[in-house]
Amino acid sequence: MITDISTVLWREMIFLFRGSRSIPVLLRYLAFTLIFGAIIPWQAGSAWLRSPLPLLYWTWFAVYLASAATSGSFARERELHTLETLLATRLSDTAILLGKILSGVIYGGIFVLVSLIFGQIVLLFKGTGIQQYYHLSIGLGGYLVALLSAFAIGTLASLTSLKAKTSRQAQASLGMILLFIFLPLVIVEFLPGLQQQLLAFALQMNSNTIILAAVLALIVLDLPLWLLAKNRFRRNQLIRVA
Amino acid sequence: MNDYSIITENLTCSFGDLLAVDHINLQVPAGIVFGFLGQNGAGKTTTIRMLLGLLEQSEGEARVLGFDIRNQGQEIRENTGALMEHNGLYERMTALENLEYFARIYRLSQVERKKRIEELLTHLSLWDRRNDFVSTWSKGMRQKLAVARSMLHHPRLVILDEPTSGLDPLAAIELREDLLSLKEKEGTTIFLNTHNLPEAEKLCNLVGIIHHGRLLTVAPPRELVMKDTGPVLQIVGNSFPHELLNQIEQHPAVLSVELVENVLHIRLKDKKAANELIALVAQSGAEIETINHGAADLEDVFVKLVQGEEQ
Repeated sequence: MITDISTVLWREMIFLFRGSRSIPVLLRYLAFTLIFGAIIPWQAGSAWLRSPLPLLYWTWFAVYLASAATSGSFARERELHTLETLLATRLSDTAILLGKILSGVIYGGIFVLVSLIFGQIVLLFKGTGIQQYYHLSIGLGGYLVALLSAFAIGTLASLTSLKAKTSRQAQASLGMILLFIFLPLVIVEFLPGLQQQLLAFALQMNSNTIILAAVLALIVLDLPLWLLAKNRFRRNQLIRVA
Repeated sequence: MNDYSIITENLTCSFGDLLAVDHINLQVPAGIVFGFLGQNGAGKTTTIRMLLGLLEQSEGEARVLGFDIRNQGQEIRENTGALMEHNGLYERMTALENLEYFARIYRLSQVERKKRIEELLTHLSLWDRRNDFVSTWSKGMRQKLAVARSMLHHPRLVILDEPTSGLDPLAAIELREDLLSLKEKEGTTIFLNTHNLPEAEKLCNLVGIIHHGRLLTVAPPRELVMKDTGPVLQIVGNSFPHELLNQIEQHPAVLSVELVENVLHIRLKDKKAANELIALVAQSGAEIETINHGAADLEDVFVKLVQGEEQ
């Protein structure tokens, strides 16, 4: 199974790093990496190493990249007329689906790792007093939160892609879902009272607690999402859409 | 059981009210080229999708290489190579990468992969372009590459859906020759979906004709031609009187007569009657341009069977 997943991953990575628009896209992502991985840490100084601030950025970046990478995964194969050939191979449903989702997670994970390392190098160069390195919980935990979030979005993106006829349609559907998911955050912005309460609650907890809670919540979210995607992956349905 | 690569019993597939495949009974012996003939929309592609376990049948049973299509699709796909309606090649990858991907899917070891890819690309005269993106290749070369991909893992059965469709005549001939030589070399059973009847006649040991989802007949092409038709007389000309067709039709040596544009097609029971019929046409006042004698071909059989079914 692992060999099959890595085979699908291998091809997805070729596409992501060599697609028709991959060079401008890669340059854009590298610019993000430079801004959030070097410039902001430089300005934030030691606070970047101690606070859960990078966690938010890493999670957002991983989610953004994973959704971009996986939103068209099946729809794109359908557009390129390669889907039926792929489905006619010996690969299991799990290998195809997981290979495609993980490609987005790894794609996001690579950029986040690079920006994490960038941030560390920049702050070592700048010199931040006593604390020179990330707390283990923030470094590893934050990275894990970013990967788990990317998995959730990658799975959602694959789900929308399963039934979409074109990658554009898949991206539009995912956009609507993400808007729905992030709507509570937008609403909180307009409710200062609730915002204060939430902030006060968050400040009471330390970084470790926040990260642990986030990891647990994401595991609870990822598992049913994965089961749903696996359940929706039906070769005969995919062929009919094609 | 092992002597047959494919066995179907009343295999049926319907989409709502549309009966795409209607109770097909088929036996395809191992090691042959089987031609599945039919017009566009006859049910050929639906049948192969069911045989590969990609579409669930509505009724009936089928075994491919001894595996049940209902619950052993994975095993079928493991032992089968497929070239579907579209060649399914990744255009932003080189030929080598395309084959590498599928060789990995079929778990060929690194040494095997290298050897097999080189063997197939060399055999199909594609080796020199192996590092080019597939998007820069001609359609004929792409089809050849797709055939190579379907044969990569030495499958016991290869299913090809219209492999020469859209190719120019020379590329189609070349691909047919490649297919035959690969089949001879590897001993693979080939299930060929096509509406190209001359191609089927040249390539296939056995053909099945499908029309509106129903299997009309299964037989070796030569036997089909000999059994269902006979000698053919074709008279090209103008001003064939209407009563002439009735006269010819009533002749005891005539099986059927048909006027298509300016060609009079006469199927005969006995070719000895040809001269008598030519004289009859000449006396009718028709202007004769050319006369062709010959045996019927698969196209005649196909037309006859399909027309018979429509009636």
